[in-house]
Amino acid sequence: MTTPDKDALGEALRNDLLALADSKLVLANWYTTCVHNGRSLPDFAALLGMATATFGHTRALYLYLVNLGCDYDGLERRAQPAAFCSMNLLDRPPEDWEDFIATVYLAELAMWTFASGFLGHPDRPLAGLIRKIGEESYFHLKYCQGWQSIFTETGNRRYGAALAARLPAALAWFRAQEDDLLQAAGQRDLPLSTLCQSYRAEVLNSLGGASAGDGPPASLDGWDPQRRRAGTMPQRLFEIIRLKDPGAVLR
Amino acid sequence: MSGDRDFAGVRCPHCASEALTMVSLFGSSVSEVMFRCGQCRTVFNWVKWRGTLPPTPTVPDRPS
Amino acid sequence: MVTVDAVREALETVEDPHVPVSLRRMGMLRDIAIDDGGVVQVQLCIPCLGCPGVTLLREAIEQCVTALPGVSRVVVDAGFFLPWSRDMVDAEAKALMRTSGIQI
Repeated sequence: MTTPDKDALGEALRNDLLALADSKLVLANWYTTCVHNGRSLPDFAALLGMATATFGHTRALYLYLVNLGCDYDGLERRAQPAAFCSMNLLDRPPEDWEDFIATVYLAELAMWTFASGFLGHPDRPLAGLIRKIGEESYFHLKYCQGWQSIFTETGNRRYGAALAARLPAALAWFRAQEDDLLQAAGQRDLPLSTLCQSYRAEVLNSLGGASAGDGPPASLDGWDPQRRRAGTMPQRLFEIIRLKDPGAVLR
Repeated sequence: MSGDRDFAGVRCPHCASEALTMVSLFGSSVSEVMFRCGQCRTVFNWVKWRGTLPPTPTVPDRPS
Repeated sequence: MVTVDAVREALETVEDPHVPVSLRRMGMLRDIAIDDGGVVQVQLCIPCLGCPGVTLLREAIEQCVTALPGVSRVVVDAGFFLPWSRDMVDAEAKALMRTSGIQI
């Protein structure tokens, strides 16, 4: 086996962090777009708070990507949907409140599980940033769990069905190339396949055995390993997430 | 506050009561949880960060 | 030549956007470094990644440090990667926060 060169490793890390950051950007927009669907004042506060935090995660990751050779303004001003690498899970808008909670739970936990692979990264600023992302995501997941408890107590079956329907797209996001370069080089703590298994177990566990299973795996058609997604972000979604004001920067 | 480990030891800043109801996981800022005190009936914010992480796959030999 | 102490003293006027307490007393001022050319580097630790006040803080810091004699430029790093905990807030600031209805 040959040692992967530095450029290939740098590119692999850049791709994974950009996939994480872009998925966070879309998730933050899910929160802002759905604020008015909240059921009560604490929902509004939570959705706005989680939006703020998630935009913050995007900003901090984009700023970190500057160290890896990315241009910050260039990242914010991408003008084509094809340039974004957000997870397929968030392509399709929520169908109802249960589907919304199921999807943001799957997205938050997937992003955290994926990010946690960098908790032991040799570049300590990256490891430190990931830890802070985790501390904040903890409360986002706690919010989702509050709703999960309500769905369980009220015998809501729609939630479990929505979760099972969305799970294959979430699992697909962890797809690894044949060689996990970052893991082999000591930059990712665990192989992506292990992270994916832990994720699946945690999701099924959250259903407390009331799982309908996780359906057939998502299609591999058009899968782009660099962008960690299949196909291009839908145009409608792009119109929501792109920065409309040329003077506005998250930084 | 009983029943939730995340909020163990939270007290009202005005009367130090522990008879509290959690009102909102996100308070007047992202970093705060909002509580209502059952004793003096005021609403207050509690600063969140205690270093807790979500479920994390275990890595052998990593210092926690 | 400007000194680290002079910069620290000047920064006492820059307060947390939520609480009228200096950044230092909130545990958010981590390091000050000055090079031979008078470039001052200020290392902050912003507790929340989504902090909407970062730009305001950056501008306030640049304004007050640039006003000191011997400063050629100010570089502020938000320190999103640095850990922050309530233990870093000094006792007086904690007491003030409690009177304002924030338990820490």
